[in-house]
Amino acid sequence: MLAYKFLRPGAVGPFSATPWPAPADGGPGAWVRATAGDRALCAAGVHACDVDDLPFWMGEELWRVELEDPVERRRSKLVAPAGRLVARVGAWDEAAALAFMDATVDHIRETDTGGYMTEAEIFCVGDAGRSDPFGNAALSTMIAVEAAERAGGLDAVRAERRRQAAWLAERLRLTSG
Amino acid sequence: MDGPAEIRCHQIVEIVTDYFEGALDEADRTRFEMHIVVCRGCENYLQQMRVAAATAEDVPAEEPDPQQMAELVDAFRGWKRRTLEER
Repeated sequence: MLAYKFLRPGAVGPFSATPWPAPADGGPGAWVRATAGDRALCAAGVHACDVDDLPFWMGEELWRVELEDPVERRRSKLVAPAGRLVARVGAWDEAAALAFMDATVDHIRETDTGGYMTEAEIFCVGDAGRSDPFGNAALSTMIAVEAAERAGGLDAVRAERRRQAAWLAERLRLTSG
Repeated sequence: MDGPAEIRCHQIVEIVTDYFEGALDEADRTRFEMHIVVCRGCENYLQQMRVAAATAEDVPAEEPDPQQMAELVDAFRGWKRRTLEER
């Protein structure tokens, strides 16, 4: 199964700090496998996600990954015994992260009923936002979700997550599955 | 996991050991990681703790000198007795 995975610079796992082997010689990278007793990786398996859940896991590098069966679909992520990098999504770069953040801030501005725009202006507008494009783009997703929850409850939160995922899918030309 | 992340920075500090040891349930582990994604400070803290834990694992465990051990046990028992007497 093909899915997506955000990684830190150098294709490093954001939580495990495990480097994922890059694709080489026109083929995918080597398999990364979760093994019992390996404290760096989650014992349940390697994690990736579908397009819909990308906003939860934003990072510096976005990769298309192949997951080994059986793939378990859990809320907000996919868990598999092993995974390997297929190709990097080159369209996800600093410019895309900043554009995403700007779009998200615009949406917060339109919907905010609880003072969340102040938080967005501190971290995600102007030089502050541009100081860490990927980190602040990720932060903007959470500010927007909290603003949505304040304005409209869980339905608004889900709508905001769908909006974020749709933005990424369209801008980066991503496909599910 | 639709709603905002419920874990705050101070809670990350409290449960980071459980996270490393795989003692968090699925929901808490996911909340933990979702917080790390949006918080650079906690992300740095997590990586520092990972390095510290790996370093500690490399330190060889030495048996204490028997006499020093006896003195430490006596000192601890004396401290505990005095603490109980003060209550």
